[in-house]
Amino acid sequence: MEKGQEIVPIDKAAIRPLPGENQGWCLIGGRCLSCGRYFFPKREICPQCFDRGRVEETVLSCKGILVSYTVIHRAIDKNVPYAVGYVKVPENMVIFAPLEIREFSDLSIGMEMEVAFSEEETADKLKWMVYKFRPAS
Amino acid sequence: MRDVYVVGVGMTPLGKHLDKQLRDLGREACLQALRDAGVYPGEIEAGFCGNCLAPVLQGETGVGQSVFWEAGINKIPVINVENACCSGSTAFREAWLSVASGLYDTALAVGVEKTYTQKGGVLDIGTADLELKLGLVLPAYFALVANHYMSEYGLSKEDLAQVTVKNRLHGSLNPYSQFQKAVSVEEVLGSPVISEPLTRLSCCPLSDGAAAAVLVSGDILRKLGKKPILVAASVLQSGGYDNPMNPSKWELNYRAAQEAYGRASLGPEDVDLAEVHDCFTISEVLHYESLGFANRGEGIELLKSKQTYLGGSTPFNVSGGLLAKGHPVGCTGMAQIVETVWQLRGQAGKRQVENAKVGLTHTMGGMKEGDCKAVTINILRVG
Repeated sequence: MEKGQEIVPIDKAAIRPLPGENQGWCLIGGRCLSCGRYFFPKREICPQCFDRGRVEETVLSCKGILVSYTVIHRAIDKNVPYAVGYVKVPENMVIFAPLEIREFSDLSIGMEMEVAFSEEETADKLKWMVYKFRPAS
Repeated sequence: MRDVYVVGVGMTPLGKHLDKQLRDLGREACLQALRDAGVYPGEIEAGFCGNCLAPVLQGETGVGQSVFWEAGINKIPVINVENACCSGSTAFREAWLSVASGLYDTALAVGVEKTYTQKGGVLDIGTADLELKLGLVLPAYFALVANHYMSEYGLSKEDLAQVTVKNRLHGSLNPYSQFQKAVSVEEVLGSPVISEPLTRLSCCPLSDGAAAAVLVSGDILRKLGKKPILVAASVLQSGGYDNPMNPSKWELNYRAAQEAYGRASLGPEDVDLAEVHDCFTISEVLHYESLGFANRGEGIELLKSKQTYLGGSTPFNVSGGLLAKGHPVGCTGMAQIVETVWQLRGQAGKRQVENAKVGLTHTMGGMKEGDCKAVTINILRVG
Protein backbone atom coordinates (compact mmCIF):
# COMPACT_ATOMS: atom_id res chain seq x y z
CA MET A 1 0.00 0.00 0.00
CA GLU A 2 1.29 3.44 -0.85
CA LYS A 3 1.79 5.92 1.95
CA GLY A 4 -1.15 8.29 2.19
CA GLN A 5 -3.44 5.75 0.50
CA GLU A 6 -4.58 4.12 3.72
CA ILE A 7 -7.79 2.16 3.62
CA VAL A 8 -10.22 3.40 6.22
CA PRO A 9 -13.03 1.21 7.56
CA ILE A 10 -16.47 2.58 6.66
CA ASP A 11 -17.23 2.56 10.40
CA LYS A 12 -14.67 1.68 13.09
CA ALA A 13 -17.46 0.42 15.34
CA ALA A 14 -18.78 -1.95 12.65
CA ILE A 15 -15.74 -3.63 11.08
CA ARG A 16 -12.06 -4.13 11.86
CA PRO A 17 -9.04 -5.92 10.41
CA LEU A 18 -8.34 -9.40 11.75
CA PRO A 19 -5.07 -9.65 13.72
CA GLY A 20 -1.95 -10.42 11.75
CA GLU A 21 -0.78 -9.46 8.30
CA ASN A 22 -3.42 -9.35 5.56
CA GLN A 23 -5.80 -11.62 7.43
CA GLY A 24 -8.90 -9.91 6.14
CA TRP A 25 -11.64 -8.16 8.06
CA CYS A 26 -14.52 -9.06 10.37
CA LEU A 27 -17.85 -7.63 11.48
CA ILE A 28 -17.82 -6.34 15.03
CA GLY A 29 -20.47 -5.24 17.44
CA GLY A 30 -20.85 -4.60 21.12
CA ARG A 31 -21.95 -6.90 23.92
CA CYS A 32 -23.09 -5.71 27.35
CA LEU A 33 -21.21 -7.68 30.00
CA SER A 34 -24.08 -7.21 32.41
CA CYS A 35 -27.20 -8.21 30.46
CA GLY A 36 -25.59 -9.99 27.50
CA ARG A 37 -27.35 -7.89 24.88
CA TYR A 38 -25.67 -7.36 21.48
CA PHE A 39 -25.43 -4.10 19.55
CA PHE A 40 -24.43 -3.31 15.99
CA PRO A 41 -22.38 -1.24 15.51
CA LYS A 42 -20.57 -1.30 18.87
CA ARG A 43 -21.80 1.50 21.10
CA GLU A 44 -20.55 3.31 24.19
CA ILE A 45 -23.17 2.27 26.75
CA CYS A 46 -25.94 -0.26 27.23
CA PRO A 47 -29.20 1.76 27.42
CA GLN A 48 -30.60 -0.62 30.01
CA CYS A 49 -27.61 -1.22 32.28
CA PHE A 50 -25.78 2.08 31.80
CA ASP A 51 -22.90 2.18 34.31
CA ARG A 52 -23.97 -1.06 35.99
CA GLY A 53 -22.79 -2.75 32.79
CA ARG A 54 -20.06 -2.32 30.21
CA VAL A 55 -20.22 -2.71 26.46
CA GLU A 56 -17.20 -4.53 25.09
CA GLU A 57 -16.25 -5.14 21.48
CA THR A 58 -17.13 -8.54 20.11
CA VAL A 59 -16.60 -10.24 16.76
CA LEU A 60 -19.89 -11.12 15.10
CA SER A 61 -20.75 -14.22 13.08
CA CYS A 62 -19.92 -14.05 9.43
CA LYS A 63 -23.12 -15.77 8.30
CA GLY A 64 -26.77 -14.76 8.40
CA ILE A 65 -30.22 -15.17 6.82
CA LEU A 66 -31.60 -12.67 4.29
CA VAL A 67 -34.85 -11.26 5.72
CA SER A 68 -35.51 -8.59 3.09
CA TYR A 69 -33.87 -7.06 0.03
CA THR A 70 -34.49 -4.60 -2.78
CA VAL A 71 -32.83 -3.70 -6.07
CA ILE A 72 -32.31 0.06 -6.27
CA HIS A 73 -32.77 1.72 -9.64
CA ARG A 74 -32.64 5.38 -8.62
CA ALA A 75 -30.06 6.59 -6.11
CA ILE A 76 -27.64 9.41 -5.39
CA ASP A 77 -24.04 9.35 -6.66
CA LYS A 78 -23.98 5.55 -6.98
CA ASN A 79 -24.06 3.28 -9.98
CA VAL A 80 -27.50 1.72 -10.30
CA PRO A 81 -28.86 -0.87 -10.23
CA TYR A 82 -27.51 -2.33 -7.02
CA ALA A 83 -29.02 -4.46 -4.25
CA VAL A 84 -29.27 -3.88 -0.49
CA GLY A 85 -30.91 -5.92 2.23
CA TYR A 86 -31.42 -6.86 5.85
CA VAL A 87 -29.57 -9.90 7.18
CA LYS A 88 -30.36 -11.56 10.50
CA VAL A 89 -27.26 -12.82 12.28
CA PRO A 90 -27.13 -15.53 15.01
CA GLU A 91 -26.53 -12.83 17.61
CA ASN A 92 -30.23 -12.02 17.12
CA MET A 93 -29.72 -8.75 15.28
CA VAL A 94 -30.97 -7.56 11.92
CA ILE A 95 -28.17 -5.81 10.03
CA PHE A 96 -28.45 -3.57 6.99
CA ALA A 97 -25.98 -4.41 4.22
CA PRO A 98 -25.24 -3.88 0.55
CA LEU A 99 -25.55 -7.21 -1.26
CA GLU A 100 -23.06 -8.76 -3.64
CA ILE A 101 -24.85 -10.91 -6.20
CA ARG A 102 -24.26 -11.94 -9.80
CA GLU A 103 -27.92 -12.09 -10.82
CA PHE A 104 -30.53 -10.07 -8.89
CA SER A 105 -33.04 -12.84 -9.61
CA ASP A 106 -30.93 -15.18 -7.45
CA LEU A 107 -31.89 -13.23 -4.34
CA SER A 108 -34.61 -14.73 -2.19
CA ILE A 109 -35.80 -14.07 1.33
CA GLY A 110 -34.59 -16.83 3.65
CA MET A 111 -31.35 -17.58 1.79
CA GLU A 112 -28.15 -18.06 3.73
CA MET A 113 -25.64 -15.25 3.35
CA GLU A 114 -22.03 -14.68 4.33
CA VAL A 115 -20.19 -11.44 4.97
CA ALA A 116 -17.59 -10.17 2.50
CA PHE A 117 -15.34 -7.14 2.44
CA SER A 118 -14.20 -4.94 -0.41
CA GLU A 119 -12.57 -1.61 -1.07
CA GLU A 120 -14.62 1.22 -2.45
CA GLU A 121 -13.46 4.57 -3.68
CA THR A 122 -15.72 7.58 -3.21
CA ALA A 123 -15.88 10.59 -5.52
CA ASP A 124 -13.29 12.45 -3.44
CA LYS A 125 -10.73 9.65 -4.06
CA LEU A 126 -10.95 8.28 -0.51
CA LYS A 127 -10.65 4.49 -0.13
CA TRP A 128 -13.08 2.78 2.23
CA MET A 129 -13.30 -0.81 3.37
CA VAL A 130 -16.97 -1.74 3.33
CA TYR A 131 -18.82 -4.88 4.32
CA LYS A 132 -21.40 -6.63 2.18
CA PHE A 133 -23.27 -9.89 2.31
CA ARG A 134 -23.31 -12.44 -0.51
CA PRO A 135 -24.87 -15.87 -0.90
CA ALA A 136 -23.08 -18.34 1.38
CA SER A 137 -20.71 -20.61 -0.53
CA MET B 1 -53.42 21.65 31.09
CA ARG B 2 -56.32 23.52 29.53
CA ASP B 3 -58.23 22.96 26.31
CA VAL B 4 -56.80 24.43 23.09
CA TYR B 5 -58.77 25.16 19.92
CA VAL B 6 -57.77 25.61 16.29
CA VAL B 7 -59.57 28.78 15.25
CA GLY B 8 -58.05 29.62 11.86
CA VAL B 9 -56.29 27.71 9.10
CA GLY B 10 -54.82 28.32 5.68
CA MET B 11 -52.59 26.67 3.11
CA THR B 12 -51.15 27.13 -0.36
CA PRO B 13 -51.85 24.58 -3.07
CA LEU B 14 -49.00 22.03 -2.95
CA GLY B 15 -46.79 21.38 -5.92
CA LYS B 16 -44.55 23.53 -8.10
CA HIS B 17 -43.85 27.07 -6.85
CA LEU B 18 -40.65 27.96 -8.68
CA ASP B 19 -41.21 31.70 -8.40
CA LYS B 20 -41.82 31.73 -4.63
CA GLN B 21 -39.41 31.57 -1.70
CA LEU B 22 -40.14 29.85 1.60
CA ARG B 23 -41.17 33.17 3.15
CA ASP B 24 -43.64 33.87 0.33
CA LEU B 25 -45.33 30.50 0.73
CA GLY B 26 -45.29 30.84 4.51
CA ARG B 27 -46.78 34.32 4.31
CA GLU B 28 -49.67 33.12 2.17
CA ALA B 29 -50.56 30.35 4.59
CA CYS B 30 -50.17 32.53 7.69
CA LEU B 31 -52.27 35.42 6.34
CA GLN B 32 -55.00 33.00 5.35
CA ALA B 33 -54.98 31.49 8.84
CA LEU B 34 -55.02 34.88 10.57
CA ARG B 35 -57.92 36.12 8.43
CA ASP B 36 -59.78 32.85 8.87
CA ALA B 37 -59.38 33.23 12.64
CA GLY B 38 -60.22 36.93 12.73
CA VAL B 39 -56.93 37.56 14.55
CA TYR B 40 -54.48 40.41 13.93
CA PRO B 41 -50.74 39.71 13.50
CA GLY B 42 -50.03 41.68 16.67
CA GLU B 43 -52.22 39.36 18.70
CA ILE B 44 -50.02 36.32 18.09
CA GLU B 45 -47.92 35.69 21.21
CA ALA B 46 -45.66 32.86 20.00
CA GLY B 47 -44.73 31.45 16.59
CA PHE B 48 -43.67 27.93 15.63
CA CYS B 49 -42.27 27.22 12.16
CA GLY B 50 -41.80 23.65 10.93
CA ASN B 51 -39.20 23.17 8.19
CA CYS B 52 -36.73 20.37 7.57
CA LEU B 53 -34.39 21.08 4.67
CA ALA B 54 -33.99 24.86 4.24
CA PRO B 55 -30.36 24.85 5.47
CA VAL B 56 -29.49 22.17 2.89
CA LEU B 57 -31.69 23.04 -0.08
CA GLN B 58 -32.07 26.81 0.17
CA GLY B 59 -29.00 27.63 2.25
CA GLU B 60 -31.36 29.30 4.73
CA THR B 61 -31.73 29.13 8.51
CA GLY B 62 -34.12 30.96 10.84
CA VAL B 63 -36.98 30.47 8.40
CA GLY B 64 -39.67 31.19 11.02
CA GLN B 65 -38.63 34.76 11.75
CA SER B 66 -38.65 35.59 8.03
CA VAL B 67 -42.03 33.94 7.43
CA PHE B 68 -43.68 35.55 10.43
CA TRP B 69 -42.38 39.04 9.64
CA GLU B 70 -43.84 38.69 6.13
CA ALA B 71 -47.14 38.12 7.91
CA GLY B 72 -46.61 41.21 10.06
CA ILE B 73 -45.50 39.33 13.16
CA ASN B 74 -42.42 40.36 15.12
CA LYS B 75 -41.17 40.80 18.72
CA ILE B 76 -42.45 37.40 19.89
CA PRO B 77 -40.72 34.13 20.76
CA VAL B 78 -40.20 32.12 17.56
CA ILE B 79 -39.10 28.50 17.44
CA ASN B 80 -37.83 26.87 14.27
CA VAL B 81 -38.74 23.21 14.44
CA GLU B 82 -36.94 20.42 12.58
CA ASN B 83 -38.14 16.87 13.07
CA ALA B 84 -37.77 15.38 9.58
CA CYS B 85 -41.21 14.78 8.02
CA CYS B 86 -42.78 15.58 11.40
CA SER B 87 -41.42 19.13 11.40
CA GLY B 88 -44.82 20.71 10.67
CA SER B 89 -46.80 18.57 13.05
CA THR B 90 -44.17 19.02 15.75
CA ALA B 91 -44.51 22.79 15.28
CA PHE B 92 -48.23 22.29 15.76
CA ARG B 93 -47.65 20.26 18.90
CA GLU B 94 -45.35 22.92 20.34
CA ALA B 95 -47.94 25.59 19.61
CA TRP B 96 -50.59 23.44 21.28
CA LEU B 97 -48.39 22.89 24.34
CA SER B 98 -47.58 26.60 24.61
CA VAL B 99 -51.31 27.42 24.92
CA ALA B 100 -52.33 24.31 26.85
CA SER B 101 -49.73 25.13 29.50
CA GLY B 102 -51.21 28.54 30.01
CA LEU B 103 -48.05 30.37 28.98
CA TYR B 104 -49.74 31.90 25.92
CA ASP B 105 -53.33 32.43 24.81
CA THR B 106 -52.80 32.75 21.05
CA ALA B 107 -50.13 30.95 19.02
CA LEU B 108 -49.39 30.46 15.33
CA ALA B 109 -47.95 27.30 13.79
CA VAL B 110 -46.77 27.05 10.19
CA GLY B 111 -45.10 24.32 8.15
CA VAL B 112 -43.24 25.29 4.98
CA GLU B 113 -40.91 23.50 2.56
CA LYS B 114 -39.57 23.60 -0.99
CA THR B 115 -38.21 20.33 -2.29
CA TYR B 116 -39.48 20.52 -5.88
CA THR B 117 -36.73 20.54 -8.51
CA GLN B 118 -37.09 20.54 -12.28
CA LYS B 119 -34.85 17.52 -12.71
CA GLY B 120 -36.50 15.48 -9.97
CA GLY B 121 -34.57 12.63 -8.38
CA VAL B 122 -34.27 11.01 -5.00
CA LEU B 123 -34.25 13.36 -2.01
CA ASP B 124 -30.73 13.62 -0.61
CA ILE B 125 -30.80 13.14 3.15
CA GLY B 126 -27.02 13.15 3.54
CA THR B 127 -24.57 10.40 4.53
CA ALA B 128 -24.15 10.83 8.26
CA ASP B 129 -25.51 7.37 9.11
CA LEU B 130 -23.77 4.10 8.31
CA GLU B 131 -26.69 2.81 6.25
CA LEU B 132 -26.65 5.93 4.09
CA LYS B 133 -22.88 5.61 3.60
CA LEU B 134 -23.49 2.04 2.44
CA GLY B 135 -25.95 3.14 -0.23
CA LEU B 136 -29.39 3.10 1.40
CA VAL B 137 -31.76 5.75 0.08
CA LEU B 138 -35.25 6.58 1.35
CA PRO B 139 -37.29 4.77 -1.31
CA ALA B 140 -35.06 1.71 -0.87
CA TYR B 141 -35.73 1.65 2.86
CA PHE B 142 -39.47 1.56 2.22
CA ALA B 143 -38.93 -1.07 -0.46
CA LEU B 144 -37.19 -3.23 2.16
CA VAL B 145 -40.20 -2.72 4.42
CA ALA B 146 -42.58 -3.60 1.58
CA ASN B 147 -40.72 -6.76 0.57
CA HIS B 148 -40.56 -8.01 4.13
CA TYR B 149 -44.29 -7.42 4.67
CA MET B 150 -45.18 -8.93 1.30
CA SER B 151 -43.17 -12.06 2.08
CA GLU B 152 -44.92 -12.45 5.45
CA TYR B 153 -48.51 -11.79 4.34
CA GLY B 154 -48.66 -12.53 0.63
CA LEU B 155 -49.44 -9.00 -0.53
CA SER B 156 -49.02 -8.37 -4.26
CA LYS B 157 -47.68 -5.38 -6.20
CA GLU B 158 -51.19 -4.85 -7.55
CA ASP B 159 -52.56 -4.68 -4.00
CA LEU B 160 -50.04 -2.01 -3.04
CA ALA B 161 -50.70 0.01 -6.18
CA GLN B 162 -54.29 0.46 -5.06
CA VAL B 163 -53.13 2.90 -2.39
CA THR B 164 -51.99 5.31 -5.09
CA VAL B 165 -55.16 4.69 -7.10
CA LYS B 166 -57.32 5.64 -4.12
CA ASN B 167 -55.30 8.69 -3.12
CA ARG B 168 -55.04 10.01 -6.67
CA LEU B 169 -58.80 9.71 -6.95
CA HIS B 170 -59.18 11.71 -3.74
CA GLY B 171 -56.60 14.21 -4.95
CA SER B 172 -58.63 14.87 -8.09
CA LEU B 173 -61.34 16.25 -5.80
CA ASN B 174 -58.93 18.57 -3.96
CA PRO B 175 -57.96 21.92 -5.53
CA TYR B 176 -54.91 22.05 -3.19
CA SER B 177 -53.57 18.72 -4.42
CA GLN B 178 -50.36 18.57 -6.47
CA PHE B 179 -51.76 15.81 -8.67
CA GLN B 180 -55.23 16.37 -10.04
CA LYS B 181 -55.67 13.30 -12.22
CA ALA B 182 -56.74 9.81 -11.20
CA VAL B 183 -54.51 6.89 -12.23
CA SER B 184 -55.01 3.13 -12.71
CA VAL B 185 -53.16 0.18 -11.20
CA GLU B 186 -51.54 -0.38 -14.63
CA GLU B 187 -50.25 3.18 -14.73
CA VAL B 188 -48.85 2.89 -11.21
CA LEU B 189 -47.02 -0.36 -11.95
CA GLY B 190 -45.96 0.84 -15.40
CA SER B 191 -44.18 3.95 -14.10
CA PRO B 192 -40.35 3.77 -13.77
CA VAL B 193 -39.03 1.45 -11.05
CA ILE B 194 -37.36 3.38 -8.22
CA SER B 195 -36.52 0.50 -5.86
CA GLU B 196 -38.21 -2.86 -6.40
CA PRO B 197 -41.18 -3.16 -5.97
CA LEU B 198 -41.78 0.58 -5.64
CA THR B 199 -42.35 2.51 -8.86
CA ARG B 200 -42.39 6.26 -9.24
CA LEU B 201 -46.15 6.45 -8.73
CA SER B 202 -45.77 4.33 -5.57
CA CYS B 203 -43.72 7.17 -4.08
CA CYS B 204 -44.71 10.65 -2.95
CA PRO B 205 -43.41 13.52 -5.11
CA LEU B 206 -41.06 16.41 -4.45
CA SER B 207 -43.23 19.41 -3.58
CA ASP B 208 -43.41 23.01 -2.40
CA GLY B 209 -46.03 24.43 -0.07
CA ALA B 210 -47.05 25.90 3.26
CA ALA B 211 -49.86 25.43 5.76
CA ALA B 212 -50.68 27.30 8.97
CA ALA B 213 -53.02 27.32 11.95
CA VAL B 214 -53.91 29.70 14.75
CA LEU B 215 -54.38 28.03 18.15
CA VAL B 216 -56.16 29.72 21.03
CA SER B 217 -57.42 29.21 24.56
CA GLY B 218 -61.10 28.74 25.34
CA ASP B 219 -61.49 32.39 26.42
CA ILE B 220 -60.10 33.70 23.14
CA LEU B 221 -62.23 31.24 21.18
CA ARG B 222 -65.39 32.53 22.84
CA LYS B 223 -64.35 36.16 22.17
CA LEU B 224 -63.86 35.33 18.50
CA GLY B 225 -67.17 33.48 18.35
CA LYS B 226 -65.91 30.68 16.09
CA LYS B 227 -66.91 27.02 15.86
CA PRO B 228 -64.89 25.10 18.47
CA ILE B 229 -62.41 22.64 16.96
CA LEU B 230 -60.71 21.09 19.99
CA VAL B 231 -57.23 19.55 20.02
CA ALA B 232 -58.20 16.36 21.82
CA ALA B 233 -54.68 14.91 21.69
CA SER B 234 -51.28 15.97 20.32
CA VAL B 235 -48.67 13.24 20.65
CA LEU B 236 -45.00 13.09 19.66
CA GLN B 237 -42.76 10.03 19.95
CA SER B 238 -39.40 8.72 18.81
CA GLY B 239 -38.39 5.23 17.75
CA GLY B 240 -36.98 2.40 19.85
CA TYR B 241 -33.91 1.57 17.69
CA ASP B 242 -33.76 -1.78 19.45
CA ASN B 243 -32.38 -4.78 17.66
CA PRO B 244 -33.71 -7.16 16.51
CA MET B 245 -36.33 -5.02 14.89
CA ASN B 246 -39.14 -6.28 12.69
CA PRO B 247 -38.31 -4.75 9.30
CA SER B 248 -41.98 -4.13 8.47
CA LYS B 249 -43.44 -3.09 11.81
CA TRP B 250 -42.98 0.46 13.03
CA GLU B 251 -43.49 -0.05 16.74
CA LEU B 252 -43.34 3.68 17.39
CA ASN B 253 -46.65 4.08 15.55
CA TYR B 254 -48.36 1.54 17.78
CA ARG B 255 -47.05 3.27 20.88
CA ALA B 256 -48.01 6.75 19.72
CA ALA B 257 -51.49 5.61 18.68
CA GLN B 258 -52.13 4.08 22.10
CA GLU B 259 -51.06 7.27 23.80
CA ALA B 260 -53.17 9.46 21.49
CA TYR B 261 -56.35 7.44 21.94
CA GLY B 262 -55.74 7.41 25.69
CA ARG B 263 -55.33 11.16 25.88
CA ALA B 264 -58.35 11.82 23.65
CA SER B 265 -60.45 9.21 25.48
CA LEU B 266 -61.63 7.65 22.25
CA GLY B 267 -60.74 4.79 19.93
CA PRO B 268 -60.34 4.07 16.21
CA GLU B 269 -64.08 3.33 16.01
CA ASP B 270 -64.77 6.99 16.86
CA VAL B 271 -62.53 8.40 14.11
CA ASP B 272 -64.45 9.76 11.10
CA LEU B 273 -61.43 10.46 8.89
CA ALA B 274 -57.67 9.99 9.03
CA GLU B 275 -54.88 11.87 7.26
CA VAL B 276 -51.87 9.55 7.51
CA HIS B 277 -48.29 9.45 6.29
CA ASP B 278 -48.51 7.67 2.93
CA CYS B 279 -45.00 8.60 1.78
CA PHE B 280 -44.95 5.28 -0.09
CA THR B 281 -47.81 2.90 -0.85
CA ILE B 282 -46.73 0.28 1.71
CA SER B 283 -46.84 2.94 4.44
CA GLU B 284 -50.59 3.48 4.34
CA VAL B 285 -51.31 -0.25 4.60
CA LEU B 286 -49.12 -0.48 7.70
CA HIS B 287 -50.74 2.61 9.23
CA TYR B 288 -54.19 0.97 9.04
CA GLU B 289 -52.76 -1.65 11.37
CA SER B 290 -50.67 0.44 13.75
CA LEU B 291 -53.45 3.00 14.21
CA GLY B 292 -55.84 0.22 15.23
CA PHE B 293 -58.12 -0.04 12.19
CA ALA B 294 -57.02 -3.53 11.14
CA ASN B 295 -55.15 -6.48 12.59
CA ARG B 296 -51.54 -7.11 11.64
CA GLY B 297 -51.40 -8.59 8.16
CA GLU B 298 -54.98 -7.64 7.31
CA GLY B 299 -54.65 -3.95 6.43
CA ILE B 300 -55.06 -4.47 2.70
CA GLU B 301 -58.61 -5.78 3.19
CA LEU B 302 -59.75 -2.29 4.26
CA LEU B 303 -58.52 -0.92 0.97
CA LYS B 304 -59.84 -3.75 -1.20
CA SER B 305 -63.29 -3.44 0.38
CA LYS B 306 -63.19 0.34 -0.21
CA GLN B 307 -63.69 1.12 3.48
CA THR B 308 -60.90 3.70 3.36
CA TYR B 309 -62.24 5.44 0.29
CA LEU B 310 -64.34 8.63 0.52
CA GLY B 311 -67.79 7.28 1.29
CA GLY B 312 -66.38 4.28 3.15
CA SER B 313 -66.52 3.53 6.87
CA THR B 314 -63.29 5.41 7.66
CA PRO B 315 -61.89 7.46 4.78
CA PHE B 316 -58.09 7.69 4.81
CA ASN B 317 -56.33 10.57 3.06
CA VAL B 318 -59.37 12.15 1.42
CA SER B 319 -57.09 15.11 0.72
CA GLY B 320 -55.07 12.88 -1.59
CA GLY B 321 -52.44 12.19 1.06
CA LEU B 322 -48.73 12.57 0.41
CA LEU B 323 -48.94 10.44 -2.72
CA ALA B 324 -51.33 12.78 -4.55
CA LYS B 325 -51.58 16.01 -2.56
CA GLY B 326 -47.81 16.21 -2.24
CA HIS B 327 -45.14 16.13 0.45
CA PRO B 328 -43.32 19.39 1.08
CA VAL B 329 -41.55 17.77 4.01
CA GLY B 330 -41.93 20.36 6.77
CA CYS B 331 -45.36 21.45 5.55
CA THR B 332 -47.08 18.07 5.46
CA GLY B 333 -48.00 17.76 9.15
CA MET B 334 -49.63 21.19 9.09
CA ALA B 335 -51.40 20.48 5.79
CA GLN B 336 -53.03 17.48 7.44
CA ILE B 337 -54.25 19.72 10.28
CA VAL B 338 -55.68 22.25 7.84
CA GLU B 339 -57.54 19.53 5.90
CA THR B 340 -58.93 18.05 9.10
CA VAL B 341 -60.21 21.43 10.32
CA TRP B 342 -61.91 22.07 6.97
CA GLN B 343 -63.53 18.63 7.17
CA LEU B 344 -64.76 19.15 10.74
CA ARG B 345 -66.27 22.48 9.73
CA GLY B 346 -67.98 21.06 6.64
CA GLN B 347 -65.82 23.18 4.33
CA ALA B 348 -64.18 20.43 2.29
CA GLY B 349 -66.27 20.74 -0.88
CA LYS B 350 -66.33 17.72 -3.19
CA ARG B 351 -64.20 15.62 -0.82
CA GLN B 352 -66.30 16.33 2.29
CA VAL B 353 -66.66 13.39 4.67
CA GLU B 354 -70.28 13.37 5.81
CA ASN B 355 -70.90 14.33 9.40
CA ALA B 356 -67.20 14.50 10.30
CA LYS B 357 -66.80 15.07 14.02
CA VAL B 358 -63.45 13.44 14.85
CA GLY B 359 -60.32 13.61 12.69
CA LEU B 360 -56.93 11.97 13.22
CA THR B 361 -53.67 13.13 11.63
CA HIS B 362 -50.48 11.08 11.58
CA THR B 363 -46.98 11.84 10.32
CA MET B 364 -43.85 9.74 10.54
CA GLY B 365 -40.40 11.11 9.84
CA GLY B 366 -36.75 10.18 9.47
CA MET B 367 -35.06 6.84 9.11
CA LYS B 368 -32.82 5.29 11.73
CA GLU B 369 -31.64 1.73 12.17
CA GLY B 370 -34.69 0.09 10.69
CA ASP B 371 -37.12 2.38 12.50
CA CYS B 372 -38.23 5.99 12.14
CA LYS B 373 -37.01 9.03 14.04
CA ALA B 374 -40.33 10.63 14.94
CA VAL B 375 -44.07 10.15 14.82
CA THR B 376 -46.84 12.62 15.58
CA ILE B 377 -50.51 11.90 16.03
CA ASN B 378 -53.08 14.65 16.48
CA ILE B 379 -56.75 14.08 17.17
CA LEU B 380 -59.11 16.99 16.54
CA ARG B 381 -62.80 16.98 17.28
CA VAL B 382 -65.74 19.32 17.15
CA GLY B 383 -65.73 20.64 20.71
